[in-house]
Amino acid sequence: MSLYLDLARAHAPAVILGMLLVGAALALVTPNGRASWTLALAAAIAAVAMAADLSWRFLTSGAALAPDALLTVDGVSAFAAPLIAALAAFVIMAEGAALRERVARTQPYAVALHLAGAASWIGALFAQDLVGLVVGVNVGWLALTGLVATAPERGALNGALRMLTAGGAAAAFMLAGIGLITYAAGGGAVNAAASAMISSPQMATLGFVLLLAPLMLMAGAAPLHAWMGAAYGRSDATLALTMGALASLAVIARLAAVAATAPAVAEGVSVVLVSVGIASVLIGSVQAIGAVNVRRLIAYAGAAQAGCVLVAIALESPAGLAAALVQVFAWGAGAFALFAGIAASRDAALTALDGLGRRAPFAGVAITVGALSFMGAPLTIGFLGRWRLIEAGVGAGWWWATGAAIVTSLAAVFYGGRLIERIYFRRATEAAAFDLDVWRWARVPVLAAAIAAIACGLAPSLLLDLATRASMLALGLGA
Amino acid sequence: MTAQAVALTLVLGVALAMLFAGAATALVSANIVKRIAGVMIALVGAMLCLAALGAGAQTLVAAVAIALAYCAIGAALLVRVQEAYGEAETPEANKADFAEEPREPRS
Repeated sequence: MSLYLDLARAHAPAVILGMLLVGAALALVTPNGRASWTLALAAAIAAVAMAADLSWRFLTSGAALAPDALLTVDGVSAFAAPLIAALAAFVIMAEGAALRERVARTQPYAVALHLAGAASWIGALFAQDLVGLVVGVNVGWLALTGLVATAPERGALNGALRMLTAGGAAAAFMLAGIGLITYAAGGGAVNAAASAMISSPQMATLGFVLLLAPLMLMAGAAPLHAWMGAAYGRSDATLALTMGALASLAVIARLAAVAATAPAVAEGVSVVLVSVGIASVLIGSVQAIGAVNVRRLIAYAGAAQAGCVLVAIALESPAGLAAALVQVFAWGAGAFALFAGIAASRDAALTALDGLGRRAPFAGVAITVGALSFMGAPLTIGFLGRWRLIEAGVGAGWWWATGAAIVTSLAAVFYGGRLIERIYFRRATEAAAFDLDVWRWARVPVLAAAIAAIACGLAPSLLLDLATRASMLALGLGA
Repeated sequence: MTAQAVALTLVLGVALAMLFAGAATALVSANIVKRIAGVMIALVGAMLCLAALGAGAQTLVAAVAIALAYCAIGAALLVRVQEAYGEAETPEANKADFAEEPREPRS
């Protein structure tokens, strides 16, 4: 038994991927929606356990995989994989509350697509070469597009179409990008640019830009986020959770890992990351302030958070990458609390939140805590992410980076304040469409986990230590 | 400049032109069929770019698989949109969706 366990641990990334894919296959062939959901949840929880074990061993003791392992692990993937696996498990748990809104025969497909999407993103994180990365990200994107297309509302089809066209164009640029990188660096390994002699720096820079820009599009960074409005506004709450917390985070973690392996072309890549990062902070914040659909509001707020992460990655330093990882964790926790909280109300209009604090107190607390974290309020994990960004920016002499953090926080006070005001200081003016089904309790662990993650800001030492180790390992500096 | 370098430059130029023209069509065209065709043109441009730069068979197979997947899901979506909206024009679908949007709260 111990021999098999050791073997599984030596090939942990492939085992995690296998667990999720087998779970998706079993969920797909199970005719009953609830049975399918149970199988998928079990597979996701097993993957979380395996990913947490891998992450802990790799980040604390530098445990290596077997030399013939199919996939690889680096600092960023070790940090992000358990986070992505846990988010996937919670998304599937929350899907239990939303399952009945789907046509019965499509329920197993929805559950399987969730799991297949999570498998793809984790596969992209652990990919050994750029081709694996591009395939993983695109399979995940197509799974997400399929999920949006199966949402009950007609407008979701329009959202899925925008995702498909944006994703298709992005895939084409990514493929051209890996062609240029492979040509310039002489290899398609993820860290090729770090280890190889670059024959043509301009070509390599163009390749990295063509690879990273589509990843920014998929992570929802403005101004590349034209697909977001229709996709978030018309899908359901669980899908918004999948897109806004799971997919965006997986993609941006992969982006951070790729950017960290490009020191030879760091300057050109850094300029692009900073430009998109600042634009994302400004555009995302303005759009979030003006949004009247809550799901869209949170998605645009996520674009502003993504901007902060991009600025932190652009610093190309261990402190910057560690700040980016803490920001990613904070963004995930905040988005999870907000999206899971608004799922208590079945209407996505801002007015549907009126009086939610009395009708659904736990959901109200989750939204409030999530909004406070997005604002960067002290004692929340969001504050820590913002603080780390400022610290890393000032350390590198980028004083203006503090401006990005401050703009994000100030804008979040406006839109977050609007959410909190509606939840606690308004009375519902009309009978709100409220979820009374017994399966709504499936969202309770999700809300509790999101609140607990945001409360990490109270005792952050372990998270900060892991983020620092992950960034050092990702940049090849040892832990 | 050798003949090989000239050929490489020419092929790359054509590939990048296809890539950008296809992506622009995919993102701005009003007709959904044209959008999906734009995605395909962009992906063929990317494959041409990969082939010109000497990418391995594994990369080209992955590119073909990605293109087929986008084509298949695009065709399925086209049928669903046509059924749901009665036409395959995005401005009409946007207009129908906008009519169902929640209005700005009064206070």
